[in-house]
Amino acid sequence: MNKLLKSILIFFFLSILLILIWEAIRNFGAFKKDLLPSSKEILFSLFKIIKTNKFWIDLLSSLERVFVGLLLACIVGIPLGIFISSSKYVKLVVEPAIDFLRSIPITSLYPVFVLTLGINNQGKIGMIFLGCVLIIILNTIIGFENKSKQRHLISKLYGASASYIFFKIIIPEALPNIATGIRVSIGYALIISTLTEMFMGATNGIGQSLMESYSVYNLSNMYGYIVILGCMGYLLNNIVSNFENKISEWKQR
Amino acid sequence: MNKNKYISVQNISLNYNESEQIIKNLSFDVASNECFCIIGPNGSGKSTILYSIINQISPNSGVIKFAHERPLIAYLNQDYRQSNLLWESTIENITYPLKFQNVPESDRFELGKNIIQELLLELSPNQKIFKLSGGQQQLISLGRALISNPDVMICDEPLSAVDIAHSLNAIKQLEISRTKREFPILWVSHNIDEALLVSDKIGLLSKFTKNFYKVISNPLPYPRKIEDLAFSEILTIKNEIIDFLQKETIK
Repeated sequence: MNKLLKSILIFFFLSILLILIWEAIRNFGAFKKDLLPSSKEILFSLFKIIKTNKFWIDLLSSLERVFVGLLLACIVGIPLGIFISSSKYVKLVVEPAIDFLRSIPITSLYPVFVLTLGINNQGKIGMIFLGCVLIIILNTIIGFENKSKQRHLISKLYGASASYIFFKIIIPEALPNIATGIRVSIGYALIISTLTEMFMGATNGIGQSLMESYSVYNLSNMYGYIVILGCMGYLLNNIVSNFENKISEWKQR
Repeated sequence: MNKNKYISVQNISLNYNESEQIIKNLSFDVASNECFCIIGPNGSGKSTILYSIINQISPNSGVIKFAHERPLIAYLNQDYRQSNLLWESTIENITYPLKFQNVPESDRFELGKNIIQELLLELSPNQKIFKLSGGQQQLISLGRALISNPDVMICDEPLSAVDIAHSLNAIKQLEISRTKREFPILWVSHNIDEALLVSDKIGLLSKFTKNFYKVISNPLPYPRKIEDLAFSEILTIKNEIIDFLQKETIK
C-alpha cells in the first residue's frame, strides 16, 4: 500500500515537472507558439480522446499487435535459443548470423515486409515478430550458457533424470535472462507497432490516430496521442520489469 | 568387493597443461568405513584430486577405482551458491535425490523435515533458500548428502561457512549416519580441528613434492568429543600439521 502511494506521488510530481518543462519550452523556446499547444489544451484533448470509442479500439488493436508479435517471438525464439546453445558448433555458425541480422535497423526492412506480407496486420505483426525474436534468441542463448556446471554435475551424481535437470535446473536458471529478453523486446514491439500503424496503411491503432491528427493538423490531439503512447510504454515496461525482478529474485544476492 | 579399498587411487598424476604438473604419482585407499581427510596449502591440488575422483578430469596416468561399478556419489562443495537450487524450497533442495530412488513424496517430506531438525536448521520446509546465509546453504547441501544414502561422499570444505556449534552438530550427525550405514568419505578441509573430529586418516598434501608428505592415522576414539582434542597425542598431531603447513608456505 505504501508502495502504491509512493508511485502515485511520484507520478503526480513527475506530471507537474513535465508540464512546467513543456510550458517553459513553449514560452521561452525557439519554436512558434502555435506549433506547441498549451498543456491545458493537450490535457483537454487527452480526456476527449479517452472518452471516444475509437480510442479503446485503437488501444486494444495496438496492444493486440504488440502481444501477438511478442508471443510468436517467444514461441519461436525460446526453443530456437535453446537449440542453438545446445551445440557449440551450431552456435559458432548461427550466433554471428543472428547478431548481424539484429544489427540491421528493423525500419530498413519496412519495404520488405510491405512487399512480402502486405500492409494488413500480417505485415505489422511480422515486423514486430522479427524485431523481437532476434533479441529473445540472443538472450535465451546467454541464459543457457551461463548455467552453473557444478549445480548440474551435483544433481547428475545424485542420479537426477534428464527431465529433472532440464525442467527444474536448467530452465529456472535461464529464466532471468529470458525475462530480460522479453523486457527489452516489449519496448521494441511498441516502437514497431506505432511505426507500422503510422505508415503501413492502418485503419486503427494509436499510431494511426496520431498520424491522422497530424494530417488534419489537430496538434493538441496529436500530442495527446503521444502522451498516451508514453504512458503505454511506461506501464508495459513496469509490468514486465516487475515480472523480471520476481523471476530473477534468487540471483540478486 | 574389497572393503578396505572402496576408493582406490593408484599412482595418479594430474597436469593442468603440458608444462604444469599438479599431482605426481599419488596413491591412497579409502576403506568403506573410513573418512580420509586431505589437508594442504592453497593451490596444492586438493580440489583437483576430488575432481578427478568424481571423473571430471581424467588423470594423465594412473587409475582411480571404486569397489562399486557405478557408485552414488554425494559431492559437496564450499561454493554453496553453485551447489543448491536457489530458486527452490528448502525441502526440495534437501530431498530431490530421493525422487530418483522412488521414495514417495510424503516420505520424502518427513525425511527432509527430520534432516532439517537434525542439522539444527531452523527453517520452514517451503521457504525459498536464496536469502539464506552461506552456512545455512552449506548445511542444506550436507542434509541432501545425508538423506541420499550415498555410496561415497566427496567433500570439498563442506563446512567452511558454518559456525562452530552447527559444525560440531553436523559432524556428530554424520558420525551417527555412518554407524547406521558404512560409506567412505573423502574430505578436504583447512580447519585442523574439523579434520581431526571427522577423519580416520589425514593426508598432508605437499605443494613441492606434489604428493603426500605424510599420512597420519587419527587416534581419536569414537564417539568423537571436542574435549578429546586436548589429548596430548592429538596436540602433537596438530602441531605437526601446523608445522607442515608453515613450512609449505614460508620458506
